[in-house]
Amino acid sequence: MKPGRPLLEVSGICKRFGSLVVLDGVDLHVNNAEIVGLIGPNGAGKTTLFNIINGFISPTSGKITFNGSDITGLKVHQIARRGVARTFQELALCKESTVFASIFSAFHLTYKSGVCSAFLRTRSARNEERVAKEKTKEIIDFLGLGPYKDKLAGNLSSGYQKALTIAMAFATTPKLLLLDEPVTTLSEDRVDMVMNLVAKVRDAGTAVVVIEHNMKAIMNYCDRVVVLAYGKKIAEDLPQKIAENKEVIEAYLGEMG
Amino acid sequence: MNLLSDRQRLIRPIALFILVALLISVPVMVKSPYLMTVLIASCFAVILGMSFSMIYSTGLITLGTAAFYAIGAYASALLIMKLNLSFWVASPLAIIITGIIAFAIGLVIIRVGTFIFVVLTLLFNVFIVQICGQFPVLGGWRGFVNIPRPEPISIPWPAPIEFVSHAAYYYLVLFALLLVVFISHIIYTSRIGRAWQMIKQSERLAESLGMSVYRYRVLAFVIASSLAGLAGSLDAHYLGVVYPDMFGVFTSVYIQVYAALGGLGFPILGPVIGAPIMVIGPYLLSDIPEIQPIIFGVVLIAIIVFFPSGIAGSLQMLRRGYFARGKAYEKVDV
Repeated sequence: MKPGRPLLEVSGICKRFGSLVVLDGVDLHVNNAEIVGLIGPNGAGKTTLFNIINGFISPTSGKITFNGSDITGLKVHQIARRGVARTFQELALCKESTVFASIFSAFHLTYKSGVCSAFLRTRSARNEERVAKEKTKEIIDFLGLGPYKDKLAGNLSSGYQKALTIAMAFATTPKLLLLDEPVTTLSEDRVDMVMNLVAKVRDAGTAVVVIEHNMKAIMNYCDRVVVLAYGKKIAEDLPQKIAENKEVIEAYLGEMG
Repeated sequence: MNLLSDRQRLIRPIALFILVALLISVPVMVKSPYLMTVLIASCFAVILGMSFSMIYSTGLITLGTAAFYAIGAYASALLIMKLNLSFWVASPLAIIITGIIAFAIGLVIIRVGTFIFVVLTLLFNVFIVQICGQFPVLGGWRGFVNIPRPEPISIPWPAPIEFVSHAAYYYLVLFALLLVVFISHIIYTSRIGRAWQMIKQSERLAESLGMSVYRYRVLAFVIASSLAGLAGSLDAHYLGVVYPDMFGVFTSVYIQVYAALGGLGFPILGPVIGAPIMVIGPYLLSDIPEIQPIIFGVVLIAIIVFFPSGIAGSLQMLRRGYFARGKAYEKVDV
């Protein structure tokens, strides 16, 4: 049982693009220290929901509450500052920066000293940079990216690129982590490596929402699964129960049929 | 991030020291006043090139650098000639005024996105030239003449520093240039520079990592435009004249080529290499003035086709052995 109020509350989110209804009254909540799987056939609105939570899109109606405050309509960087990190399905990378530089830059949010201190190189600013460099090394070693730390992100294989985007999201020490297809196209051992990492982050208290098509990953690692189809939530339950849910199966079969 | 070996790390400061020593000894070695003029002009060109590349380092292309060059020049000239202020007060004031105007303009035009931004900077450049030309109080199309040199600075010994001779002004401009390079280097290697790099490569990523793309771009725009204003102020008091056609859009395009020739991925090294080549080059070919536009065109095409990463970029790719393998991503560097 998770005490206290949910970290993230999505209430009645609707999104219309013209006459196209992408999300139709979605309710969702995420607690601290849990992994919620968000699944559903393509076009169900999962990424759109992420975009709304994250701030890239504003909903047509509905509310997003994070950590007790209403974040609906806030700008992306403001929401990021409050502790929401996100990865993208089509990887968002700095192709011309090295792995080390990318992760190091991601510590941007963690600095308490302001921009002026950064410019003046005050002692506190330099200290924070030193700490960030050490943490960058830790993350790189932890993810097994050691040999690639000076490689340009654009030259990595897609599996390592995904790991890099997740590493950057971790670097911000978020309260809520939104992962959009983090293990799609990865080989099985890589999938386990990444999902184990996600589980560790969950154990440390972070809330995680994972959009995935890899059902094994969802079943093995999620605490709870929410199913979206045609813009509506059609089921929300434990992973095993979802696998047996008739409506869910039909929704997926409908996609393939 | 530094990938240099220890030996290379030692070479850099030594090379830098030699370079600065050379630069300082220029007035001793150069006797021709015309060449001195060209060298001073190339210092301004470097600063202007760095103004362009600072804005470009956030992913925005500006065709309005000359507008702020003009604002700095005109503001400085006006403050001295109409308000009788000392150069040493008027010049910093002019730079601040340029920065404030850049802030106001930047707040508006940076919102709209990278493509329209180019057009708006171009329009702003045209607008400024027209303003300077249409208003007699700003000198009209003939501009201002007789803009005075900076007043001498009195020091205990041996004598007040005057700025009448080419050599003296050269040192003033060199000092400003080195200061600009130093400050820029600090900014680019700081958190601000890293944010700019990320914004240039992926706005989406930068934004979701908590960086306000808008604010960082406005910051770059203001600092860069102030640099252009600095160049304008120093140039106005060197040449003694300002007139609107000095600051047309074509100048802004030239400035862009200064940066591109040296290498767009190198916000400091690019203009430092590209600007002097483009300013001193025509001087070396001055016997055959007809050739100059042709050379300019050839250089431009050569850059676009063969050396899109500019001189510095191509050297870097050569050093890494990428040349044979075709394009691979280059690391953004100073």
